[in-house]
Amino acid sequence: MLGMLVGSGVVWAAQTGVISGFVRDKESGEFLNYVNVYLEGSAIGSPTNKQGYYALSRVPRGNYTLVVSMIGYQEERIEISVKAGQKLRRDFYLRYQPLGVEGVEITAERTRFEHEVDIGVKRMDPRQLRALPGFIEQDLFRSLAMLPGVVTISDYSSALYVRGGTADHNLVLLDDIPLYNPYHLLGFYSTFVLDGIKNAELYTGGYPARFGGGISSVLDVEIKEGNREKIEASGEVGLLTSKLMIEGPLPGLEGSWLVSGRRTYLDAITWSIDKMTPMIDVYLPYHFYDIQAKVNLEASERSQITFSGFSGDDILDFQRMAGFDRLDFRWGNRILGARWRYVIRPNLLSVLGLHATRYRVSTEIVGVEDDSWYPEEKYTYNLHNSIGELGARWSFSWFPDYKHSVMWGAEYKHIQILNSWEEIDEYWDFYETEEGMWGYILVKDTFKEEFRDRFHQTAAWIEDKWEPSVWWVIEAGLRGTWFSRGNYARFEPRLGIKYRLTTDLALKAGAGLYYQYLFIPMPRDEMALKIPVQFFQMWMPAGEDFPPLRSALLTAGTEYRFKNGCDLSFEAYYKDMANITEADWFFDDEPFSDTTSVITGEGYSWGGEFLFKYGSSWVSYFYSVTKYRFGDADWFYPVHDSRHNANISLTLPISETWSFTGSWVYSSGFPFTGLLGWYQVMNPDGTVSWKPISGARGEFRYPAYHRLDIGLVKRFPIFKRGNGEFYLQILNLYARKNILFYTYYINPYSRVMDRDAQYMLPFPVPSIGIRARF
Amino acid sequence: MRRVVPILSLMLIGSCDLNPDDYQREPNIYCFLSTDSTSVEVLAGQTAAVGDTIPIEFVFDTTVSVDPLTGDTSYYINTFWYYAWNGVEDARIRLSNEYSGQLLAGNSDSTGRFFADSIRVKRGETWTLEIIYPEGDTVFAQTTVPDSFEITYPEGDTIGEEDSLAWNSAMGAAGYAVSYLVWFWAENNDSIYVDTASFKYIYLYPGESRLYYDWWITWIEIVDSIEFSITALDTNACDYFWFARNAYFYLNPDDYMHIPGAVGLFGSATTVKTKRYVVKHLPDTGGIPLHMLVDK
Repeated sequence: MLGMLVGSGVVWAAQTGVISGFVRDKESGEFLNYVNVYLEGSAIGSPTNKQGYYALSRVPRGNYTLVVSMIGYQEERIEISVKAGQKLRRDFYLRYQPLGVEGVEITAERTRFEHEVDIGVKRMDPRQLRALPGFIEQDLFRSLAMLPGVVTISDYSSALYVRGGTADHNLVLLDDIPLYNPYHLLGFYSTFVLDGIKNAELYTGGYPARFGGGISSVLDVEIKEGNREKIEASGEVGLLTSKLMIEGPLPGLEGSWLVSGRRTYLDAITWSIDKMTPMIDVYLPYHFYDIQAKVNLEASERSQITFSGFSGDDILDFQRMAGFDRLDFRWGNRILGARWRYVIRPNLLSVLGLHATRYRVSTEIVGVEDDSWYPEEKYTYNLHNSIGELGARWSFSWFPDYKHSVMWGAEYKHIQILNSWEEIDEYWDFYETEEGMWGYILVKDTFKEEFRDRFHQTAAWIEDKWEPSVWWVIEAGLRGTWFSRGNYARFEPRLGIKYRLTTDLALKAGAGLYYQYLFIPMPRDEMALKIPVQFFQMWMPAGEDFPPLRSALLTAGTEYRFKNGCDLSFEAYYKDMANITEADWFFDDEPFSDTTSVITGEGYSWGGEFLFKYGSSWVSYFYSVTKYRFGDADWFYPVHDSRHNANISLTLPISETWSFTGSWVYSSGFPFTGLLGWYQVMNPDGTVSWKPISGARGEFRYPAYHRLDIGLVKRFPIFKRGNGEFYLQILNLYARKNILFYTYYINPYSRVMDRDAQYMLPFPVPSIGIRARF
Repeated sequence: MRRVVPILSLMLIGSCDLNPDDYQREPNIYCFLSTDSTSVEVLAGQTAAVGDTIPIEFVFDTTVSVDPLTGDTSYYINTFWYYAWNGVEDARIRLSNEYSGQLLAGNSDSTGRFFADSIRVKRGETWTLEIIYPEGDTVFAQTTVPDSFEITYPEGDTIGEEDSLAWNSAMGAAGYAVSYLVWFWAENNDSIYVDTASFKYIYLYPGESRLYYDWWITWIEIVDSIEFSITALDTNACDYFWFARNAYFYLNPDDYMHIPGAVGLFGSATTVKTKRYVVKHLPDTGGIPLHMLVDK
């Protein structure tokens, strides 16, 4: 029987051919992913994968028109003749064709509509992200928060909450390498330099088996490979940061390189103000920077090697300030990775990756005690907290025929969490010399404590995308993981199905099980989430005390493509979460035990998401309900549970050189634990105190959050070969006073138990900048 | 459309918010019975909602200073304020034990304070408090006074670094409060005299031991002698004093107060005192750590 199957396969293969190749940007030579490649008038087609590769296998012999198209690029069409057993390599270079106005695109073209399940996937092109108004600085996370299913809870934090999950439930990948703390400025901004990013995909649910490690979402970001045709530079000067990107071909080799970076100059600005106004002390020695680089070496037609690197730090460095001789506080990410992509056969692609990633926080406090009796004495405290991993990943993409594409692979990670504390005291002590004289000597006492935890994580996965007919697309996958700490082995089945009722209307459904072995317990204190303090990322590993986090997701939806290119989609989901954790930083029930405790709990989230998009503009609405429970306590609405959410994002051309962007965000009130009233207690000394009576957890809601941001962009040429942009943006145009939190207090003079609202951005915030590209 | 309307209604209901104005004020009481007290005071009051006005008393203290050069007199008015009891008038209060009971009289000078002078609280007794508020709220609470116990250590007349303060567990006691009175040498206008200072409370649970340092009892240079009071607290009082002092935003009164339908305390205590110990002066030691130990 097997022989017959194999035999028939051979016969079938003998009657067919394979068309494969890469698709690139003509101007820069960069590989383009999600380009639609199809044979006109047939059901045979496929989008290019992340590596820009496509393979149409088992194409029946005959003459075809091969069409290669992508939004924003000129379509390419070639006549092609496929003979039996022929392996045709056809690479394409698409010419960029500006749409006239820059804006966010969520590219969903016909071929992908027909050939991909695409449940809960949101794709953004950061080349055009810059047009969206940003808070002084454009930010990837804040733009993602305008998509259905994603919320942020404060203007002061860019942490994303996806379909009821917390921020640590998101797996953030940069060139397939995890970033453990993708934030700057205590959470204000994400750590990505938009100029250097090729594309970003956010999977809000139903993501395929090749991804694992986040129970809510996966954000997959790719760094640009660089221009392999010519050296180019671009830069931007904004209110908070300046950016520079340089890219070009590898000298004497096939390939390209790219370096991009940005640095804030809050320290320089405050220093200048400080020097100009001696009476005002505003100097803040804080800045952050990012550098990301990539080298792309195309060793042969079949082989490509890329090296990626990223380094970003926030640095707060007080010298003889704030009562210390030195207070050096820095935190940031480093990643380094290499990938080797090899086309084994036209229909078989392999990608081998090695990586190292680390997030660390380090604090050095140096104090000097100097008095007239003794020489200088010094004390030093060093606090270090880090999480890092070394990993390897090998994946294969196989295109056995145009109805199947199979991916499988395996990965290994060695993870280390390190917390250390060092105290060095240098002081003068007396001693008696041999002559009976007294002298003093510098004594150095060192105390060091270190907690190091190492563990291993392995995973293997297989997924198959199968199109049994032109109406069906089925994606099935299975991921198996093993985690050494606690010896956990788990299987994660994934399934996605799309059925097209008509050529323009499709139904889709998905289900999956997801596990997460590293997590950050959610702070019990709601303010710790609202106010950005996300530099100490206390990642915890699963173990005997804490089983891995688990989520099960069911999704169903529909998608309709209008003839004029509009898309209307609806997705409903239900997500069940288990073993989620919470850190109670307050004392527990027993007196005298003022401890921190981490407890596990469960949660669920359900909702529906509408998205209507046209070109670079869209309107979305989503309704969601999220509830958590920890320990034996009651169910409650967590701080990110937002019932009604709406977003309108518009990008409109005004003229050939002017464009307008605007976004309006609405969220019905976020929950909080409010104060019901006060009760009085009699103290042992006979005085009366008032204590707060809080409502049930998450029982109150703030007023609705909404905000309108607008931007104007003016394009202009710079000399003959460059072009520039001037932008003006205004955030919170109508000065909406969104409430961050309430403070409760007793006013002794009015004798009233009072409540004050503290606002986020209560006034319009303008921002200007200039970009140039040569 | 007929199907859409109920779904939308359900969604809107799901997003309804709780309004703080919905809070219903509760009776807020305080009564602590102690075996070493000869009178009983009951405080009947109310909790407050956000936006309510509460009683606050202001105290003005005038300081006079005379400039020694010019002879000018300056007056400084210092303002202090403290919370008064947010009491209710005309509450009907009855306090009783197994054998007798009496209605308490209100204090005309202070709203919500009610007194009884002739009540003697004894160890092991069960007391009942019944308060009927003018609006009709009724509070009913009970406490059983912890039984007697003995302080077993230290023996002798002196106390020092190596000594422990130990006592056996009292029946009905949920915890203990330790207070102490020290006699110390003080100076004033070149004369030296003995002054006293009292301190409370250090809390312990049955079976618990603690090592406790205090500024006064470690400063052996000036401390002459010390006397301890051990107060065995019933569950109501134990939880109230410890948690109320440490109550934070997420700790609600229902979590540690044991009066159905009300907030506050109706609790009791039995107090035993040690004799007055002379503090041993050991020049090479850092002071007298207080080793406290409750036998199970």
